[in-house]
Amino acid sequence: MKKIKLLYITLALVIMSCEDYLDINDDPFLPQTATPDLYLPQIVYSMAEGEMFDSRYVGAITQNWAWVNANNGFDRHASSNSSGTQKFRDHYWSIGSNLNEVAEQAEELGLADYSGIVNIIRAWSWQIVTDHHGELPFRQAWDNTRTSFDYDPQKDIYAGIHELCNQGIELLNNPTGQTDPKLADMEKLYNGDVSKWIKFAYAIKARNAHHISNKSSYDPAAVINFVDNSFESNEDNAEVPFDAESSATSSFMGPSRGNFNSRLRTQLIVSYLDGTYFNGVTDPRLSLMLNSDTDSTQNYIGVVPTLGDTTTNIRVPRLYGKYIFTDAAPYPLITYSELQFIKSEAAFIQNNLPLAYDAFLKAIQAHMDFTGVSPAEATQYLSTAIPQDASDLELNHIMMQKYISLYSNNETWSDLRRYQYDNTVYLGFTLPSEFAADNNGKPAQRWLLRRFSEYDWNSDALEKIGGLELDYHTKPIWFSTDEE
Amino acid sequence: MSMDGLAQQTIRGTVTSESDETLPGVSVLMKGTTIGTVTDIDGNYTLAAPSSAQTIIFSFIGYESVEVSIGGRNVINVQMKTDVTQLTEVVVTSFGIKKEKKALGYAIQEVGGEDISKTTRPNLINALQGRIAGVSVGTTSGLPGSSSSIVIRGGSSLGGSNQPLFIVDGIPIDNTTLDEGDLLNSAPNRQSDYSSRATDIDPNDVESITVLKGPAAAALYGIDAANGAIIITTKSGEAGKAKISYTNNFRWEKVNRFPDLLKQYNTGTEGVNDPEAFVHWGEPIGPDNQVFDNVENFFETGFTQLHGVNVSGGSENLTYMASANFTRQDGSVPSTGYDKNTYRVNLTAKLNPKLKLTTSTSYIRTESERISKGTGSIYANILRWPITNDIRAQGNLSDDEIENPLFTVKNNSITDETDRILLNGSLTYDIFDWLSVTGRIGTDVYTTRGLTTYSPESIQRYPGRSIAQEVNGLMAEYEAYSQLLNSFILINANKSFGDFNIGVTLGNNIEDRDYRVDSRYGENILVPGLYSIINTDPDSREVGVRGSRRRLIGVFGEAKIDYKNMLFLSITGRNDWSSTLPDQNNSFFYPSVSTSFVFSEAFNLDTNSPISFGKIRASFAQVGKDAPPHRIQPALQEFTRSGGGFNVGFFGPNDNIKPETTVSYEAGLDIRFLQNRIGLDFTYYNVRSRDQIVDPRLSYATGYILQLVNAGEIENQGLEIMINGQVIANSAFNWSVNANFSLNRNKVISLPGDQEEFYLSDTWLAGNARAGYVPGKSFMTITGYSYERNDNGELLIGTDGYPIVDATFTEIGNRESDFSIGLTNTLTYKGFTLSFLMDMRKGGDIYNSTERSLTFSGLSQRTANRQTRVVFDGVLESGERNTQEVLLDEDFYTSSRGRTESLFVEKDINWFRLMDITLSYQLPSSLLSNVFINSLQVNVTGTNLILWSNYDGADPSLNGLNASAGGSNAVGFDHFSVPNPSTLAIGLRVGF
Repeated sequence: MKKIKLLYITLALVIMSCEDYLDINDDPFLPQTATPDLYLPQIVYSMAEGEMFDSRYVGAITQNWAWVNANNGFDRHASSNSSGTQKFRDHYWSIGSNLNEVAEQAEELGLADYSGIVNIIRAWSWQIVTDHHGELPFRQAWDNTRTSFDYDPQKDIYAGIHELCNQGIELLNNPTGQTDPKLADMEKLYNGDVSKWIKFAYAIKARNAHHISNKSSYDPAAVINFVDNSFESNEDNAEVPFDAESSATSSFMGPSRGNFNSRLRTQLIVSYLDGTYFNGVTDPRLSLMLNSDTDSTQNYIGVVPTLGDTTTNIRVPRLYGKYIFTDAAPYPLITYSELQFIKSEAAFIQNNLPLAYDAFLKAIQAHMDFTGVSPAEATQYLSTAIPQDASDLELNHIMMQKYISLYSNNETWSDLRRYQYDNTVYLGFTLPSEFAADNNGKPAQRWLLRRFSEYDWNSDALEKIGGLELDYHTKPIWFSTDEE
Repeated sequence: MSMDGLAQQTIRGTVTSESDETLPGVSVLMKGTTIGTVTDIDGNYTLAAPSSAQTIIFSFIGYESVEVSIGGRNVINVQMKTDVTQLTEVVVTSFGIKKEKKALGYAIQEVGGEDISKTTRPNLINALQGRIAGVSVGTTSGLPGSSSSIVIRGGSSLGGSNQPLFIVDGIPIDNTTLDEGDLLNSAPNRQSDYSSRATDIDPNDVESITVLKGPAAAALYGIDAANGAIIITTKSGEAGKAKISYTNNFRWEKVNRFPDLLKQYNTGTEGVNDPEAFVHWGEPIGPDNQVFDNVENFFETGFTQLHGVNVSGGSENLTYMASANFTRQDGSVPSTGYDKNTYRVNLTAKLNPKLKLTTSTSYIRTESERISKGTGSIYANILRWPITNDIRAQGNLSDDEIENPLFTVKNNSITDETDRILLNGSLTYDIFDWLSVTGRIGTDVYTTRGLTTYSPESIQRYPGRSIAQEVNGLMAEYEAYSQLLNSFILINANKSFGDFNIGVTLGNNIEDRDYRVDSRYGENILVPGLYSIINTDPDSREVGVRGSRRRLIGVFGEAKIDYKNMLFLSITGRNDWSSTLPDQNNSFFYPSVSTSFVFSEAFNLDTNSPISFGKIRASFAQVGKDAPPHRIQPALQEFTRSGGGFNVGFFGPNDNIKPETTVSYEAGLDIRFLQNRIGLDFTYYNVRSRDQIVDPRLSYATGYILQLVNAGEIENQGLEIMINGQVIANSAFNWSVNANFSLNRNKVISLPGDQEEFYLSDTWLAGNARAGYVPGKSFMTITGYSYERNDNGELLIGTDGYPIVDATFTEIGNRESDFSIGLTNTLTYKGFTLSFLMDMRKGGDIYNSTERSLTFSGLSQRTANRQTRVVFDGVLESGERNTQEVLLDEDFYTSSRGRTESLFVEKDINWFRLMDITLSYQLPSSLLSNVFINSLQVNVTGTNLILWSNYDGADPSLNGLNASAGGSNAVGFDHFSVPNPSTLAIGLRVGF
């Protein structure tokens, strides 16, 4: 018996030591998990990355820029199931999965604030991704045990965004647990300033509530209320910073990354800045946002979408060097200026012209400041280029000025879709004479879903919403319609 | 103890042929024991044997075996009769266990070390092509030190490595080709190449190579041998006076096949000349314009020296073999080269009659100087260089966007150097004459240091980073550390009971693999000319580290029994525990059964009957495969953009991964005629690999991009025929033929999820064509864009008169060959030996991406019809036949419809290659009787001297990636890889 016992013990020891010996399946150089602060740089970067990436294509639809070569498909509202789908990837993976980790690690460590911020970032991410694609896997999202997913209506996603913002505000207003001193250091959007995160949540709510302006349920008063609870000045802008020490740490929009080499500014943005539509007054932002032509004329010329650069010797300069097209310029996600434009438009719809005009002025002034226009030049512009009386304010003034202030931002596409590319709202805006073949004569309303994710695994769900149709990207997106 | 020593007898003697020539390399074995040796270069042998030994067996390929009773003699000279009878052929199998070939229930093939070394190929993997049925070697390029992938009987893994395990002297060695995914810039292996580490073994040191082709043969080696095993045995010493041999070769190489360029048009666009343009769409070149052959002017004649020294000898109790080999290769591209120094000492010591120690120690150093490959590479720029400009007189082109390749090779450099130590020791204790225990331990440690430098004047962009000129030069460096430790314990028992012989082997294997790559990058070379990371701008520096560890514990056993030496049965089983699998699935068992029946023995066919030998064999085997390390619960990855920190990596966790399983069936017939002068060996095999551990893309809604899953199944089946014949055999003239025929059919049975295509993203090299797996199609399928066709297969023509591009990935080619044949002829006449290997392949498609790029550049012969008008033969969507005439112009050839990928898949490519040819002359020993030289042989060797192929490109056997690529890799993707050169060498072999 003794011998048998000894044998058992020996065997047990061998087996145990074998288990230890084999227990090396964690990566030797990379952590399995990290403290919540360490996930934040990537998450905050990704909040801007999808926007910047996809703007390469959306910017052609909004005519912020157009291709240097003639007849480009994206200039003609083509869509793609690979290009222009970065937000989709970032939303579920770069942002979503990492937020899950942050929430879990913060809860384990009993740290305050993280869970509120997690909700607000998630709300932001849902907002920009659903405005790009429409219906998406929402309820089942991040369920790693599934291989295929159902698509939820955008209406549900919109409601969910509101809910996430509310929860985030609630959690930040009633913190439980300890404050993490590392939060301020690692969180680069607001350096851990909880009050600014709450304002950011209201900014998202404002955008969200305002997008449904074509519905009878649209509530401009609520929108104005959200705006009033959000940013109070440019100080509150949500801006993603870049270290710009190398091309890897430079802005996606900058010359080091070289992502906009084949795109040139349009004649449309030039015309909005050179006085064509604003009393012939040259906007002081023109020379701060755009490069003058490559020849010695100091002129500004833009390309007409689908025509390419028709100047001799390619006079239209590249975008880099000015405004946010530098290596180090932070990327604005949503600004005080945009929110004031939202307020102005909401008040305009309410027919409260004084309020609309007041917000309109604040919006332009804020963008002037953002661009680096001197106060004197800004005042000069505001007193000559635009209506001087609230009663003269027209919708197109608001929307064209908003177009300038949102230059490069995908939010302009949401505005254009709400107004169905109306050239009485956007003066001078001309849809391409011939759309891409797959469009069946219709302009783009949404972006196709990512092929290697969605066509492979969720084709059944996609089929139900028409997502496999070649012209799916021309199907009107829920928020812009009058459908409740 | 001393009594044991006395109970020894030493027997020596000389083995000669019928014509009284001494026979080196004859196997001398004490019957019924494992004690044996081989004769030295003069045919002498010395054997220390227990006094109980009765009989010695002499065996040698091509000669009839002789059994001699010792009868108390100390000197036994033997004359062997020429015969191709090889009834007791002995081959090395798993763990160096020598087995009689007729006992094997599976196919196994052997190549002599000399066959490899005499090819003068520095890369021994390349020398295997054509010599073994079922083995296919893919060279990455013809540059010095380039990697080579080797696959046996087709690939069985969708995404993982399909290369066999390399074993040297009973211990696994590392054959990694550096994967650029481990570097800072995480590049996809398209633009750089690194050596396959098995090529560190010098061919001069190799005694023999045995190829274990299937899971049955490799069952005991376990999971790493699921794709077969290459067993290399290095030379060892023999008792007797010291023998010294010196071998050299001087070798010239030249790349002499290039794409056929269209040299009729000036650079420019739209028919207008532009000297700065990099495309040839200008005016036709007039008779007065000079046209340069820049390709010819760029390439040089490469030169290689190979030297080898080998000293061996020993006493009864201690034998030694020491060697040093040197390779100095300058490639045919200026600045490229490959140097290799290897040093080896192999010792065998009889510590006492029952205890034997063998050790092998080797140190290897290699240095490589390389150039980039693929898109934007030097070779790509040479081929596309304006034919109206002399590359030797020109600077950069296209507004400083295209760098002159001569500048690049002169000023930028890509180098690496490897130091490697292989240590291996084994101790065998013969407890009884029927029972022995062997303990063996071996380690393989190397460090590779790589350095890439771009000069401050260079306008090249480092992949994923900056243009050198914009940042005042840059550098990237890395060190790869690899450590592989293996220990084995083997217990062997053999006993006979009447007509039955029973053998049992029990063993244990523990393996520990550690791999680490450190990499650094820096810009702005502060003090010019010094490429040191310290001499770069600190703000630009980046560091990276990647690594993996794997541990494996295996226990295994084999039981074999034979009846009257004619019916053989072997059963093996192995259980592995792998660190890479989740706890609940990390233990897995797999068995094999093999049997053979020597019917010629059973039916008493004597050597005079038409069939002199016959055997049928069959086997079944299963083998498991574990997961890649650290992927069950993936680690975070570092965030390299602003702010740092970590983030969730691409891979989702999966705690349910189980081992993937390969099941193989094999049956064969080995039959010989006319006193064994003609031998035929047929093998049929069927191998199915299921529950593949693959990492498909997921729906991103899971929160991840990819995930390891068990899914997918692949089937390989094939036929191998080996024929050898002694066409003429007489004392003066011998002609023998050896042919290997192989045919493999490979099919993807299923894929993960509902995926219609699972592709290898790295193979998506250029254009829309890639290695894609489609259920029901070949594993070697190329998927890509093609023209749309209607149900009748007619081209669909658009309203503009041009064909419509189908912008979806469908099958556009199959890289799998119909069959291949390797044919070796050996002719000997007196002291002359002429031996040549022809490598032939029938069928298999190649994606000629090089031609596609040249089409864009207006340099492809396909564009010779520019400005002609054609009517595409097809139908309009209305169903009407197309009658519209359209222009074939620059717009067409540079658009996707003029360069649709399927147009560049060249179908059914055949080749005939004179792989290796050697003519050698052995000086008659009578001439040398008065000098200190014992033997002298001179030889002339050529490789790749002839290549006939219906392929339009340069070389049909290149790899678009490098050998680190898994799955079906990118063999058959020709995208700006430098073709294999032809070489000619002269050399001699002297014995002292």
